[in-house]
Amino acid sequence: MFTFGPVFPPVKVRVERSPAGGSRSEEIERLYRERGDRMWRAVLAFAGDPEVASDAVAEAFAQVLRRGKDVRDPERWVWRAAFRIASGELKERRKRPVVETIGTYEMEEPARDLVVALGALSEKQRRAVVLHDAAGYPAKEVARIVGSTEAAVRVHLMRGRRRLRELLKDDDG
Amino acid sequence: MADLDERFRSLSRSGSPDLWRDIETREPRSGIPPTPGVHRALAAAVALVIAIAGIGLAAVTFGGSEPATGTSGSLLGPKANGEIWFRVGGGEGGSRIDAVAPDGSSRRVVFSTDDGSHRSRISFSPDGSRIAYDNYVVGGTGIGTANLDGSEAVRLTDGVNDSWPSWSPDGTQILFSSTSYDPSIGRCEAGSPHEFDCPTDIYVMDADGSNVVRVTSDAADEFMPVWSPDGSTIAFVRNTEKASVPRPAIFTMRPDGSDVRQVSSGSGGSDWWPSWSPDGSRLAFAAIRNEDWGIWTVNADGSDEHMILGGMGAGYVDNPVWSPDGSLIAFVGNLEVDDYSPQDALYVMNADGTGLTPIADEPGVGVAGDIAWQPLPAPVETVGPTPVPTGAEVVETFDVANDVRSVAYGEGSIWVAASNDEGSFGGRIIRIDPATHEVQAEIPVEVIPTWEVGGGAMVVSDGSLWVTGSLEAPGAFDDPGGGADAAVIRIDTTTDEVVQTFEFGGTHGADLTFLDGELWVLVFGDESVDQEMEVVRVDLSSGDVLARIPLETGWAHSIVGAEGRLVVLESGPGAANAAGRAAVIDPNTHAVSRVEVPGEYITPMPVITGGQVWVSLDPGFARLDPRGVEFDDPVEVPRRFSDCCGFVEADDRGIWFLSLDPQTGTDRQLNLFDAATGDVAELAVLEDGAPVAMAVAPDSIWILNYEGTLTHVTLG
Repeated sequence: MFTFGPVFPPVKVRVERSPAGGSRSEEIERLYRERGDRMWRAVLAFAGDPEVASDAVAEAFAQVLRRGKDVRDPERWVWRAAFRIASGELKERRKRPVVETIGTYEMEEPARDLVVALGALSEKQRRAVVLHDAAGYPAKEVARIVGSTEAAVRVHLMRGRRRLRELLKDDDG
Repeated sequence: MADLDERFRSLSRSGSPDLWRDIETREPRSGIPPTPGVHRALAAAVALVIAIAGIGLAAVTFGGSEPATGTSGSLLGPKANGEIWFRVGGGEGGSRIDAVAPDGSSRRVVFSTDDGSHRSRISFSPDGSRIAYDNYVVGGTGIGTANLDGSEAVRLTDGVNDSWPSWSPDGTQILFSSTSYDPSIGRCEAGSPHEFDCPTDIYVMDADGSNVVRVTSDAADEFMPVWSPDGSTIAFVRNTEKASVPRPAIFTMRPDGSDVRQVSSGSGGSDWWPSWSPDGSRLAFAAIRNEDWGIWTVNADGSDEHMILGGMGAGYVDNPVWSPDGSLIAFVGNLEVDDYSPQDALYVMNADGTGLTPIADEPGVGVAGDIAWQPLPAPVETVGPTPVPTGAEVVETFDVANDVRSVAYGEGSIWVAASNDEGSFGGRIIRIDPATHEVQAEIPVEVIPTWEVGGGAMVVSDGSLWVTGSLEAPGAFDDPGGGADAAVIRIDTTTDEVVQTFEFGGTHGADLTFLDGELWVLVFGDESVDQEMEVVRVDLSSGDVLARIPLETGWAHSIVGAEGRLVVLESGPGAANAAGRAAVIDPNTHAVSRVEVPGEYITPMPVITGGQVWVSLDPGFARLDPRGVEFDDPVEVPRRFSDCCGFVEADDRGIWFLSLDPQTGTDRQLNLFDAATGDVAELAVLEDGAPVAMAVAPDSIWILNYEGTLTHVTLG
């Protein structure tokens, strides 16, 4: 007889559980459940319009669902698609983001002012800032998502945040 | 007043709608065809039966699946990721050790089934050149070490239950656990065999097997010891209870056994198999918590304990081992069946639990663990060639100043030279933060900076910015050869103050270069008044001219130093840029040799790439051998690259130049000529400005425009 060292008594019991993730559609739903909230808020911050945010996020996820395994990196794909769709909708509506529609959405005052101020940034700056500060991605990851370079993202971030502080008359920090 | 971060936190507290039903049911607008076989369906619920088996049973069933947590970090410096070694199969026979690259390639058998000895819980020495292991084969039991191919094996101990060796970061000692008879410990009662009745404890010995010292000695089991990367701490598993149901958790202690602290909570289950992150800040470990297998990480002080992989639906995951470079964690398991199974495979994931990737399996048998990750010396970071960019992006074109003259990069800043824009002598140097584009300093200077027609109108070197220009001199400003002398000023980049001004006669403007620490200045002349162009060598301290070397040309724009020679491109007759000769100057003898340029210039500027002198031609580039004073055959490039702009810059990545965008025919396009291959990479289109000068930084190109703007292009 030999042993591989100390023997622990059993600690596991039989449990019932949810299905293990395997298919792409389950992966996409998991992605939505994990990231959907912050994605929606980020696109809201980007577009300044809850309707645009909902439509862009739903459309992006619906598209990636249909594309299945053709999309190798669903998260990056959905982020880029959501911004692209939101940007397209804004242009189509021929309006600058924000202001009136945001007024119908329940939101704390500091956040509401922030979303309005974000509308004054260039699209690249706004996209970098919301992915970094609203969605919580580091600059390197933002670059991966938007298909840019980290250096460019850092420039957009610095300039965007500085502009926001000017607009909001905020403290540094 | 709220700060910006607080506003974003406020935003994160905002509610969001649940869109999933809309996502499932909506038809995408873009007409994307559904991918065959992909449909939205809720998977049937699958109830997974969890084996009622503890770790010990697992060890017997899948014998040898305990790890060598062999990613010992090292005082010897950062590590790179080598092969991952792992056990295929298990039990009392029929297993072997395989190796695979972290990307799943290059799999090979290291120790085959019929190798004749059993090596379990392999641990790599810090330099990755030897292994320690335990062996249970009768007659050969104990801890051993060997070369990576099993040769030069040394048996260090002979205890039948000696196991889990771990090298110290300096490679001089080995930790291991053992169960030795010790009548002083209550639980360790006389009987047979003593080894299995007594508690498991941790020992340390010299790497040659001498000086064995017992580190722990109590009635609890302590095992799986792993040395921290800095050698100050040992992580190990200890049963937290001495009751009939021991709950193992991760602990740490000093190498002498003092300062024992519980690190993982063991809450709701059991924790084992600690593996240090290479920076020593965190530990990864396997756990069964609340009936779920999982891989967790925790700070070395016990804070921030959280699961990175596992929980509902995760299957069986076990035996985490941190990669030597800290970026990845390897583990064994499967994501389908919530128990050990013949489907078990070797996985790697990012250290935060993302990027899960299977890299090795063994259908019908399974991967059993015993994971050890070979450390390799990290590549030495050198100040070698910067990676060639694969793309570029225009970040912004922004205003700088009126009447801009040249741009340079150095000391972490962008430097733009401009006149004072008042039509009088004087100028300013504007220092710009490349990240924010903010002006860091504006330095007034007495000279009118030279228009940059070559790369050297400004040079940043050793804490100084050297600026060429012209100072006021007797005579009317517009008189031929009068009113101005060529000059060079030096600005201290620490204080942003002008600390030296050198004046050379001549006329408006100059260029400069350094060769072997010596300052050489190309002083512009004026052919109309027989004022010769000349090259002068300057004493860096006094500004005294130590040598004057006249040129035979009406005009030259720039000077470079390389391969032990100075090179100036002399223009053809009548100061025509289109043809001319290269003047090669020996800095020691001051002898000047000349060679005809094999073609028409794009611009009469030599540039340096890869330590070689190159000249841009129409169309193409030619290398000049300054020693032999001859040109290689020109490397032609498509004609359209010669249509524009008239200036080039270079670094070790190649020659950066502008051409016209083939799409618009008017916008400028940034390109990179690879002198080694002759290829041209078309990188970015610049939509704004009429370029007049360019500066090259490691991650960006800066283009100064006639309109007084600066275009920032980042390189990917």
